[in-house]
Amino acid sequence: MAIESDPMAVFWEAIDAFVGYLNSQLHDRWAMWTHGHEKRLVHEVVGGLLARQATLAVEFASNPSIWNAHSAPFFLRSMVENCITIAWILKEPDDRAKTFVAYGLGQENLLLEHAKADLREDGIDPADDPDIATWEQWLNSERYTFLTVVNVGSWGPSLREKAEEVGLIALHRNDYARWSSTTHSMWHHIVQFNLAPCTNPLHGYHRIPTILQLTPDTVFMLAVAKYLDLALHSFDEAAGITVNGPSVVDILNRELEKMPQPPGYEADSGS
Amino acid sequence: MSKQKRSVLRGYRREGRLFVPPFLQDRNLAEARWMDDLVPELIWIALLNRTFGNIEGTALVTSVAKAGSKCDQNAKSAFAAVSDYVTLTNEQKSCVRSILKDEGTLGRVLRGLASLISNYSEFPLSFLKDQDDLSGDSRYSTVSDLTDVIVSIGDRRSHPATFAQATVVYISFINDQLRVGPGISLANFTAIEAYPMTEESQRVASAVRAAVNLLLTTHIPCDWRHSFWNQGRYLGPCEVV
Repeated sequence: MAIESDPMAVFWEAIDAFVGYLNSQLHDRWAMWTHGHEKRLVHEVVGGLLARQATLAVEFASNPSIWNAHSAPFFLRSMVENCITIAWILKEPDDRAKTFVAYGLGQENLLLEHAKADLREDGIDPADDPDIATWEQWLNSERYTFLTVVNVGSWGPSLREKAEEVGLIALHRNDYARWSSTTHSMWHHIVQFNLAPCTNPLHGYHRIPTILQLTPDTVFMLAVAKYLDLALHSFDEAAGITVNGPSVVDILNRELEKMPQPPGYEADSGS
Repeated sequence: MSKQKRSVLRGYRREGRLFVPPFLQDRNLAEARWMDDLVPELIWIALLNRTFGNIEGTALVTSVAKAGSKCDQNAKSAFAAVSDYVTLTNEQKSCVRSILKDEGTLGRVLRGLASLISNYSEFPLSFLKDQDDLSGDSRYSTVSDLTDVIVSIGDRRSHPATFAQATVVYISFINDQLRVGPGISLANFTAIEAYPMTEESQRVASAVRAAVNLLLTTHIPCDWRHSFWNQGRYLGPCEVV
């Protein structure tokens, strides 16, 4: 008896090829971006943010069950924000990387202080808590907490202002706003995806809560690839680096073409 | 158990959206980063200590520093930091070399510093090696010596790091760049020999660390530090666990 091949094998092969390409894109740039030690902080910040962008893409690609309107916007919103952040930092890398780090460490310090306050409220001395000790030790290894200023505002202009400065205002206006509606569970998301009309005329066509089962849609995966390309493009431009090879979107399209079509799918004849 | 009043960021002072920790309030502090800024300046001391042990290592470091001070009597530094040697003129460099040669310590110093001299063209103490003398110490110049030393002093409170810093303070004493009055921790400097076994040694070590922040950062240019870390990148690839 012939052994049937795994119908998902082609799909996972395509995802693996895509993820492999992402990795190579990131590593090629890291290898080409030479710098002196005095620029270490800029490289750590920008390199880390690019790796974050690639990580989100890899995580998303590897989990097709979230390629839908319920979950994908969480990834997409983060990736849009990251695109803007990377481009904005690269405009004045020395100062902005420093500010980015100082703000992050201040926020972590504030979280730690809240955790300590929670313990004190419960009558526990934070000095006796091993988790607090480990946390504080890590934070001190980055920068001593007694030298860390806590900024309870934002770490620069608003995201919209940053987007304007780096010429990504359309991305902010359209994409960021769209994905934010899901992230913040706003009405225009809820009404489309978490309410279904009751068809009983006697009920006046009110809507009832529903958990919609959505099938994965590659449009979200293509958006992920687009945002990764955008971040890489901002980096290449600022760093003066040219990496040969197709874009991430092109590679994704190539791989998607290899994937089996879902049952009942009919290709557009174009007529 | 009764609940206490909630208090977050106790002692911080609010300045607009910023909460400034007590230690930074009304102070204008210059930062000294241990690994980035201080390690390149005292790596030579740690290297000599590691190669020959603390006693001979400190003696060799002291010989070099005393020679530096003797040959440049207008110097405002103790010749404890690597960068202190940058400003020596060619005549002063020859003078230092001659003194060490006459003392019979030059060979040991060169052997101990071989990994820095061979691998770091900008190393300010490279002048100790006679440029015509191509023989000798390259056999001792392994990069692994340096990586071991950096690992050993990565923790500023480690035994090797503490003794390297103590040597900086010691040199500053003998080259008359540092004086302390009775009653403060540094006055009992020799107690550091017992570090970290006694409380007194820990107190002295703490004072040493504070003194080193001042001694190695107030007047020193950044060229060697940058050069040291940049060259390190050429000596081996990144390693990620």
